[in-house]
Amino acid sequence: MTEEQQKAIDTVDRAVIISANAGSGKTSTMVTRLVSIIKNNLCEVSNILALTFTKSASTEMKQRLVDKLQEEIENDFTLKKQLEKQINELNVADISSLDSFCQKVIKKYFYVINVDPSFAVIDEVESGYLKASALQSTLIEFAEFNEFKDLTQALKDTKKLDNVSKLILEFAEFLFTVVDYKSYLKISTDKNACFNSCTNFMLKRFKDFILHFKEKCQHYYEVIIKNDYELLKTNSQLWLDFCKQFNEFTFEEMAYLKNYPTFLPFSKAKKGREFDELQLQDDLKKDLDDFKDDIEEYLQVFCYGNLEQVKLHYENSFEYVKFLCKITDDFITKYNELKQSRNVLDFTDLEDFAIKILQNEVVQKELVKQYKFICIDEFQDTNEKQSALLSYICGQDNTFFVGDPKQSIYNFRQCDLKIFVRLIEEFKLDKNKLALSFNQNFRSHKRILQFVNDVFDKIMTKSATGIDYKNENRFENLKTLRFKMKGKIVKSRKVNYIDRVKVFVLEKKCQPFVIVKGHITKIAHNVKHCFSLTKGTKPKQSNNEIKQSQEIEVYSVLKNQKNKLQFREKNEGDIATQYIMEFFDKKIKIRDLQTKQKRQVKFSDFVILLRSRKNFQMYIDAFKEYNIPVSAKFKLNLIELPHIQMVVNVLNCISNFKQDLPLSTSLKLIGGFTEKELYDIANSVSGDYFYEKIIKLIDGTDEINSTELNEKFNVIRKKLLVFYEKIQKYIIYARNFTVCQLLQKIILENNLINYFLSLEDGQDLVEQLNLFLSKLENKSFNDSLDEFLHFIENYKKAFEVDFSTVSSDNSVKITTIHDSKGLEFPITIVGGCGDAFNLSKKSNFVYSKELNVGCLDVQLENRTKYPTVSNSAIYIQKKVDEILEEMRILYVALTRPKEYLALIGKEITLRGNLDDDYSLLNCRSFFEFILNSY
Amino acid sequence: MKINLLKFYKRKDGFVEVFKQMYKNQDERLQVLVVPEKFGVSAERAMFDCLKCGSSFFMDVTTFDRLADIYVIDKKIQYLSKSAGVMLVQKITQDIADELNVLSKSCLYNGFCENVFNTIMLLKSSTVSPNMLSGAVENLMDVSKLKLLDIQKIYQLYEDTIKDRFIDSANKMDILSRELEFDDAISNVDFYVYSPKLTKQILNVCDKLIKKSHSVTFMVDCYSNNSIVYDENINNLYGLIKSNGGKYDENTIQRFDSLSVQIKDVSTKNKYKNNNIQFYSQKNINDEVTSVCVDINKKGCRYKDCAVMVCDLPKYQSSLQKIFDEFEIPYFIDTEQTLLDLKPTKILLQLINIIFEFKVDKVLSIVKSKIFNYDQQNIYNFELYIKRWGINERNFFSENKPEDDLFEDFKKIYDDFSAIYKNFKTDMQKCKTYGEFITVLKEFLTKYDFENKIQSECVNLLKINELQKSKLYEQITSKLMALFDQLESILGLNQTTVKDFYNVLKAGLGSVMIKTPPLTVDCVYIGNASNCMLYDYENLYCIGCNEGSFPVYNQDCGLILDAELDKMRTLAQIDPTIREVNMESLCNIINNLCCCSKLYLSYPISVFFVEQRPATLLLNLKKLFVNNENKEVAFLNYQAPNLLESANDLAIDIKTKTRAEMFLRKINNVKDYKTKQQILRLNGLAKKLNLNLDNEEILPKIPRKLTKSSVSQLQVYFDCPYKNFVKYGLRLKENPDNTLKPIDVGNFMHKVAEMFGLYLIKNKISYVEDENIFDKICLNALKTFEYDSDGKKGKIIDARQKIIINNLVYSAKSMLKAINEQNKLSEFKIQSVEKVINLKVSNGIFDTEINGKVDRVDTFENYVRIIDYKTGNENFNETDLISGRRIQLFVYLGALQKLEKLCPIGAYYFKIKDEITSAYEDKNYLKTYCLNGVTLDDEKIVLAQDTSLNENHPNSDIIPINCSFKDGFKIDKRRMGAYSSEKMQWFIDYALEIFKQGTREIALGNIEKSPYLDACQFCEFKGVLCLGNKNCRQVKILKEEKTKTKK
Repeated sequence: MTEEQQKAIDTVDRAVIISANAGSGKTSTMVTRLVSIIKNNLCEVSNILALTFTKSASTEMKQRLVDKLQEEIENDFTLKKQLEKQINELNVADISSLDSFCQKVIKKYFYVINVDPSFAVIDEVESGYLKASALQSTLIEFAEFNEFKDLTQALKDTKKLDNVSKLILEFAEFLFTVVDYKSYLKISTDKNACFNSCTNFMLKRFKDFILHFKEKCQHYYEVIIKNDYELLKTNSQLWLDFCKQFNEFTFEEMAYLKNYPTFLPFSKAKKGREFDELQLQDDLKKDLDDFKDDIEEYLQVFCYGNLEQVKLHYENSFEYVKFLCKITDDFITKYNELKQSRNVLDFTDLEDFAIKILQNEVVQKELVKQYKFICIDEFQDTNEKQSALLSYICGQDNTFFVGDPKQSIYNFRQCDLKIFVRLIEEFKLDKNKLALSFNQNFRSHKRILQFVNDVFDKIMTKSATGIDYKNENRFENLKTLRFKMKGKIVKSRKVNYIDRVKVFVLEKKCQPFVIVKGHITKIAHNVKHCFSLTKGTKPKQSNNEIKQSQEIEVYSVLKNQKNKLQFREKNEGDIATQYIMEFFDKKIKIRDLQTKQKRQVKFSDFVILLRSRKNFQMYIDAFKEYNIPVSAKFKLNLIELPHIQMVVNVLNCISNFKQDLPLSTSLKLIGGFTEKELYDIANSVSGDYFYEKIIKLIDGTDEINSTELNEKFNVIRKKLLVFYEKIQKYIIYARNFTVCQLLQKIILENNLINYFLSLEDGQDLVEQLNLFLSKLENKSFNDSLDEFLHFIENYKKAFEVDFSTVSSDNSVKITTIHDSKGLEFPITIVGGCGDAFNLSKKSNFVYSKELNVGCLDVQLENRTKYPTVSNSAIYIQKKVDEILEEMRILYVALTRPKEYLALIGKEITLRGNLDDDYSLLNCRSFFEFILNSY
Repeated sequence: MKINLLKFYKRKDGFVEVFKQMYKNQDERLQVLVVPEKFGVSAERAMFDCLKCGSSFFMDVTTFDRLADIYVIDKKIQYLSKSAGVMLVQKITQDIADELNVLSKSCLYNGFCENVFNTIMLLKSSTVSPNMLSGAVENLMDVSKLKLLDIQKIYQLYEDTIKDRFIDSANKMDILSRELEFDDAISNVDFYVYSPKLTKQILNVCDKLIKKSHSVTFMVDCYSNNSIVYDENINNLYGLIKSNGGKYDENTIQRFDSLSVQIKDVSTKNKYKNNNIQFYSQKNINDEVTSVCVDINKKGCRYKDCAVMVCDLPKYQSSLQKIFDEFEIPYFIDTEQTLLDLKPTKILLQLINIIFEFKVDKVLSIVKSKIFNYDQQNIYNFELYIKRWGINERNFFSENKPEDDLFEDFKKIYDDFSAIYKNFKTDMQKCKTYGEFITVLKEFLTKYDFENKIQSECVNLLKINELQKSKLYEQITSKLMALFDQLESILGLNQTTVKDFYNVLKAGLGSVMIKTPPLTVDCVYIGNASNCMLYDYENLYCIGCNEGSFPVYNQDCGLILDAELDKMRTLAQIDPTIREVNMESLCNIINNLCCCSKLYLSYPISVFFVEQRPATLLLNLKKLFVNNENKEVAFLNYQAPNLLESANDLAIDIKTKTRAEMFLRKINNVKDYKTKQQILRLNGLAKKLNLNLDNEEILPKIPRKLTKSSVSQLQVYFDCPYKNFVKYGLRLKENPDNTLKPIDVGNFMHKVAEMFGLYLIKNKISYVEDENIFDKICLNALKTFEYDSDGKKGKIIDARQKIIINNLVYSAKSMLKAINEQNKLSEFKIQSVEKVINLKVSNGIFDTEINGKVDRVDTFENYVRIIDYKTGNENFNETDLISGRRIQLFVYLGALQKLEKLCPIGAYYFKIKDEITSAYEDKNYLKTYCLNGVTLDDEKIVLAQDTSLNENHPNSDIIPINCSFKDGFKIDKRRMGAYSSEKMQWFIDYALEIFKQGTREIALGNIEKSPYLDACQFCEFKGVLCLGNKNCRQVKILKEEKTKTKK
């Protein structure tokens, strides 16, 4: 235990907040604290409320508590009776996720808000279905409105009403995270309030932007003057003058720009100048181009300084906003009604209802009285709603918050790290409260930590991110390492961590068939690590072969599977493979997580962390090629998988025989028909539809007269009758059993499991089938086949699941950075570092908590659109939030490894140094964050 | 002795001891064994087993309930069953909903009334009257108070209703203890009581038994010496014994010193030997169950000697059924269903439900339920019709339904069902009281012969070997009628509405438990760990012992809360609290675990990809059962005997071919895998190992001759040969659907473009000045497209479709404008639209004719270019051409070249899209509608296609070309639109050649499943194909220039 930790454990008379770095042992501190509270008889387990943000975290915490308490018993037998009672109580104690806590509160005090206590909590599957049906009725109702017609046109809905549906659903989804969505909508439909806040935001932003540019110009100017670059001098002088036009940043100033038709000229220096000057010129030009684009955007938003116009566009767009609010409000009402009629709650309701209940003073008093100690883990992942909820039950001195603002990565769920940061500030000022920070790390190798420090010192600045990394959040106690280097103290920046941290950069233009040479450009010496694929590996396809295949490919695209042309570009997967294999080749040893002994590396020591699931396949393909076992968790839509669809098709056939596709599938799958037989039926029996032909054959009304054919068809007829009997049997089954039972019967009787196993990756197919069955159980649509088919036809999304590929225990794990949170791995490879962040795109409608809703001014008559202050302001704000979130995601990724860290990504173009927040917020990839900090 | 106490670990031991006792006493006195219902049969069976005596001696096995019946029968008062009670509660709650404080209207849903009824029974069995309850409530906190006052109200009304008219189960016990007091006949009886649950009423009865009978022996489960186990029941029992003069030391309860109490401790001394208890971890649920099955088979004992105890039965049930069926092990799952869970009753409820909530889905399931004798084929047609026309609740009964030639036959169903529905509805709506509703319902059921229908369904179920279900169905009618009778007798004259009646009936149906005995004696018993009561088994398998479900703890949030119960307990002496209920289920599990000779415990490592940990209890048990406490016993990992799985694992490790082949041969010889699919399976594995096994061809060759073939057919072939086979060989079709589809949108746009083209050709102009013509064209196109200006098609009108069509017209106009603008700036003129192409080619085997239509052909001098309108967002790329998937443009170009001797200079896609342009950018539409495709890099051709190109405007907005005029005309290679004439000719030749190749391959019968990249993803036939998207073809061409530079 460190001093800080001990202090956190011992302080029980004051409210405590802990800002804990990754791997600083926050959960174990929390558990130890709880154990000490229980041991010292300060309260019973039932008087403790411990909230976590996931269910698994709460089970983990419970388990750790039990273990710890039992340990205590073994240490001191006199405590046995007391502690065993508490262990027993733990089973029903309030150590739970926030959701289950809410659920409990609602079940307990249901009458306060008049809900039926027998409610069920529905998952996304069912809530999605209800949303879809609510949306349908909303659309039907509003279809008559002219505003609705305009809205669909502005959104370019021509195929279905997809765009407008999506907008309503997404907006509603956003509203669900707002504490009081009704009042949010009310404010959003208040014209003036929104206009002013957005305009002010934009003007301020514009000011930052100009100041940033001014500074840059100043910098260039000084260099130019110093070196006496003639031509550039005039240029930069002009730009400085330009910047000086702005003082107050008002509309009036903006109007000035109208008279600046070709503002900011750029005259090129003549050829033959010195290299430095040309280089400077290039940099300048790049900056200038960026600047021009940006400024043009601002000017458009401000209508070149015409306030009237700005207002006009805003007001035009406001009509859409009003209508969107109205229709979404209606949708939510309908959705709520549906839920009520079925007596179900979704996850949003849990929080909403719990808040409503807690607003009741009697209840609040009772709960405050009950919980003598409250601790909340991962507090940085709290959103406004949850923090409101907590405020009702937390007393003055009994709370214990733990979290790490740097690991707040659930912004898309509207989690707000500002809540945590604000609270820390508050605690620091209050003498009756205790704010601590855990800056040590017990997880990662010190050199990795050094690397993390070096990266984030530069980019996680107080002014840009609200977190002061350099002064408050660095990993500490790394002195020994500094000392070690060549026997004298060296500056941390000079520490060489090549052996622990490696960065691989893929050349930008990857040519097919040409092995990529990985190299690094513009990287400071201490991270540099060159990694060349050409070194140890032989290219799989030699140039000769390529040439050959090129010749044959014209006429044999399909000719022979064995000669199939399957090439792919070398990609990140290959580099990861090489990196991993190097460990085995060099027989590098690592420390085992459990035994703490050094041992050979295993595949399971590696983890690939990726930003999104999109790139999983790339890695999996590469690993498979090299026979590296791999396991990954995917998002899959079960219904869209061919084999699931086959099975569903059989159900369709049972439900209604007269459907070609389902019928033919069933004939193949459970009738044992071959393609040849089906072909014969299709081409020898008359009829428009395939099913007509089958029915004719079953009834014996087909007109096959030729003797030759007849013999063939006698076999087919017999087979068909057996099949028909089977279907009849399943029809009886379908009438009397649930869909799930029916399916199991079909699968079992037709030996489908073996059939699927026979296919490539059969094990996965079977697992997916099992998962599908498990999804069906206990669902309301499980009862009737018709309802089920109707359901999946209309709501395919319901069957989106996480699916891990089946592989052996010893396999490389691929996971998203989000999923890796809270975990540790011996060797971590972070992929996709060069990929541009997936920031939200500009769209007609944007919304945020602070600035409400913003829409473009779409003029339907002449089919043109104008930017509005509200739309741009909210868009910019969102983008900034997203970039900051990416920075925290990077922090999470970099703090996972215990021993080794590798970063892989495509080459990027650097946008200059990160001198200020403005350019920091223009970073577009992890590499930009990392490489720019050198 | 007057009172005996018998403690045992194994229930069997206890019973054996009791039987010995009985045997000794039988001549002198009557021997009566009182046990829970569940032990009724097994106790007798066990007696024969353990005493090995052939004939029964004189003894009675009974339950408290049946004991009471002896006295109750004389009273001639009707007995109120549980379901009747629940219905009564439901009715009362509905009636007084307005007066309730907290349990108001919102509480009128599933399970609520049963919950209230159970609470009332709990109160009654603890001898708490409504008045006492209101007295107790006084001291409670506000929050609980209101709730209990509501219950008290319902309780009071409940009591008022049944008073003097009925007795319920709680009353029975009262009567029993009252009557026993005056029954001197029992003084010559020895009672043996085993009751895991001792309520106050039962304790009262026991008290009487002690007082009046000759002797009473209490049997008590003896739990492990685990200190966390605390037994409420034993304490109550001790209290009773104490009050009857027995004495005991509370600290060492095992030593009783009183003279009148004798305690016998029947315990197995060596509870478990080390090897008789095993702990396992399994990968997942299925593996867990599989290994149980394998173990049962391996042990070779009789099935009836095995039991499976599941900690979370609902989660496991389907896996258990599936895998036990697979292993052909007979089993009996000890669960109860309610009447409401059975399909026929559900249909019945649905019939009433649609009276006040009409839904087409429900109609379909009613029609399919066979309650009316409709022809199967007609039902199919009925369904197809409903789907085709999008029939919904609103227009189901509409008079003028769309006519449809195909569906003449089914009209009978439509009319017949409508008539039945209307009659039934009117009949039901006339009813005023519960009695009348029941009469109408009964009449309806008789009219449609409900009973016989169920009987015939029973026969059907027997035919498909569903004995258990059939047995359940046999009970339906009688149970249903009994329920009707009960309802009639308690509420017959009370007024009600359809909806209220429906709710009361539903509550009633939901509370009727229905159950079957095991079908054979020799079967594996499967029960839920927390509530089953095991007797004695050789092998006990306890599965699902993961944390969270072993044991399943009730959380503190039932209708009545833990805190409230605790309060009530002190005030009115009600037990138990939630915590004690949890304790009870824990004790029960431990008791059950003791009832076997060999124990097998396992937990799944993951349940549907959520990682699990072993239950703390399991870990404790491990310490408890395994001799050496400090020694950690690792969980054994039982490998499910799935050969293929191990094969797959091996596939990773095996590097050498020979070893793999040997392995495959080994599998080949395994006798279990006889199915035909085995070969297929090996194929999958072989593929994984990159082996070439000489297997028989999986897919046959099916040659087809194509005398005429369309380009799109060939393109489908190159998407995937199998898809082509399904689509054109089997000619599978989807049933028509007359609602607006995306494809209609495309058709409409094509139509508009076509009409505009025709207009220009007819008037011999290349563009129009007056844009009003666009409106006219769009309106005309709508008409020919079967829509009028309102967007009606057929008879189904939907406001949403109107909007879409309205928007369509907008984007159509915007498209026309773009075409017009393009034409203005072009020397090319539209020569024809929808031009039919017929070109004979020979593929080397036979002659075939290329058939197709070109959307638009433009000419200028002798030059020709073609344009294809596309709704998707595809761009031309060479790879698609090479792969054969996008050869259309060039095949047509080639055909025009051959047929009309024109010089081909360009092939483009015109992308139809709806664009709203930014006000500050270039205002013309041209850029967004820029043609996408290829053209010649010839100055004349380029300038003819875009006359606006010049030094100041070097980048074309019409064709995909950038040029420069500075040092003479040059084309910028960075924008890939221009090709040399040789290359253009190569494209055309290639397209024709690959077309021929395709027809040739089809003729040779290739129906391989080999989709091109993501072709599978959007294929409507993928459900027929069954194939992962991993076998994709992929073609990538080398750009010549790039290879050159690299060299």
